[in-house]
Amino acid sequence: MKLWPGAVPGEKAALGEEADTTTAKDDLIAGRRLIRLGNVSVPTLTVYRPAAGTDTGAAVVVCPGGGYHILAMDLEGTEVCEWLNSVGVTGVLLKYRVPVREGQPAYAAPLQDAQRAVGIVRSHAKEWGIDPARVGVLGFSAGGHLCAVLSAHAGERTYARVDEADDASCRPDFQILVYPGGLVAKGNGTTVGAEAAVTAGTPPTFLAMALNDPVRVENVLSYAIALKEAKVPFELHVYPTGGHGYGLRPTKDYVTSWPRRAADWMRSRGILGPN
Amino acid sequence: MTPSLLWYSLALVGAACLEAQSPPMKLWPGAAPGDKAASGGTGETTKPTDNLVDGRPVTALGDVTEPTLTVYRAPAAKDTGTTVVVCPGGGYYILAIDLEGTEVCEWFNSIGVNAVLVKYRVPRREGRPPYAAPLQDAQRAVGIVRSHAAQWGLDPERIGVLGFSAGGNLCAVLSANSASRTYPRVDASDDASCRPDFQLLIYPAYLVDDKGGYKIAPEAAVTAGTPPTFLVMAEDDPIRVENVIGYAMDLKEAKVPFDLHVYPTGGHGYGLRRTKEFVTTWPARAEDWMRSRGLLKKG
Repeated sequence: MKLWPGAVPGEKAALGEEADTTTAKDDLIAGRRLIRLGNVSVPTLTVYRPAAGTDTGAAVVVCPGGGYHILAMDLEGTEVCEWLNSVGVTGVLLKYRVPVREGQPAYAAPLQDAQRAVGIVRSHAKEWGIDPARVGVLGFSAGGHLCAVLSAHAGERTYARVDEADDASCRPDFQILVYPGGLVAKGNGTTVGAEAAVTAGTPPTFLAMALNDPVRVENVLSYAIALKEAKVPFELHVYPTGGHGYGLRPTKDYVTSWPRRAADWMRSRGILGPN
Repeated sequence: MTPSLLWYSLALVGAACLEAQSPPMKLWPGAAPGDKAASGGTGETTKPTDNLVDGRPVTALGDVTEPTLTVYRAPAAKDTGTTVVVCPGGGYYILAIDLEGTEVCEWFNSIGVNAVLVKYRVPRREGRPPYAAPLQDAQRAVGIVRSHAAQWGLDPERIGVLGFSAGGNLCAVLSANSASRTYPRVDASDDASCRPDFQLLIYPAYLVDDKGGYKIAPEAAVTAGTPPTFLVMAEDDPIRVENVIGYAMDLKEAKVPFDLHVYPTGGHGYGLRRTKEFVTTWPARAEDWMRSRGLLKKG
């Protein structure tokens, strides 16, 4: 489903054709290749429904990572929606715009897409059989950054109203940030950037990352400290090894057990139904 | 089974459990260093009205003047050779000797790990930092365990520590002060290293200022020599979750490997009794961590 019925806000120059940019030389994850989708100019959302008997009514908008350059569409997208379905949650895969648009912050166009997507899901809740009070977001790497930026910008749309989907709140009810990038400055920063600032209105958050992640574990440690200060409930798991970009494919590193922790967390918050 | 047979079987099971646990051993052959006069022995200070955890009371041991260690052996068939010295919490005032002591030793035994319960000195000694006497006891305890490793059949390179609350503080203080003993040499046990090979800090206290911030106190300072660390705490712990996050920040800076788990709720002082709170699943996380570090392989 296209996010924008007409022109996509802020789009001017035509990009090349949308395509998988993975080559035979690229790394495998858990022995398998992954899709690195480039040149996304027509953002979409795709709804993955759980089996009828298992549906909890909760929904999660999934934001793949890829440094705002590409989208890891299967590893950090379709496979996550399938896992969400397995725990009774509707997965909504967001294909947001990449690469970075010239002259704009890296997250600006993706933020518009994410705001629009959450508004669409919530405004269609009744029609799609979703509980509008249990619409969360989940993002990996740059997609995790995007979720945090969305949570910090849920008060107001960053584009002109298109239709009634933009009247629904775009604040996620909860967020799951898996090896998020860019929350703290590169190098040795330990302060969360202004675009992702935590407030008392930031939704309850689940954080998971490996200590040896080259994107720096301070991203989750500093975000956790800010959440504590703002009295926002969070859960944080840091594992010694695992690197970056494992999605939820099980590897020998037990950081890849994070989906079980995330399911427990959702269960403990009543997101998977009454406790 | 007749009632008398049943009781007989239960008694046998009880005896088998007790066999795994050696009698307490005094840490110091003479008086504990820095203590002047014995102040009256070891007494239990729990009142029936005290707080329950998982519906069961917690034993609070006060006035410990004769520190000891008690060895809990893993069953021979499961024994990995790994050993953990367990430091109960209690604010350096008392020791939660069952909730944060014996029950943890039994859990370690169940996963093939030998446990050594340290009954360290409480309450705080006047005119000394709260951790000073306990640090002497902990240094002495790890030295005794390591120097007896061959005799007791333990792996001298896989001796860790685990502590709750003030006991977690004590572990971190021990890790920061393992280069030299803080008491005059007593015997050969004090020649063995007292540096833990790994540490598990469960809702540790006093690592950061209780008024704010997440700067680690100098007596618990992290260096490149700090052992690999497992950390767990609840965000709503009144002792401040910054204790583990600040410590984790310093471990990262010092390039020391760690595992960190923060759960939203659970408060303080749950030991490893399973409650409705997910934080009480921490033993499963700790077991994964120990396995990943090769600590659960037969040595």
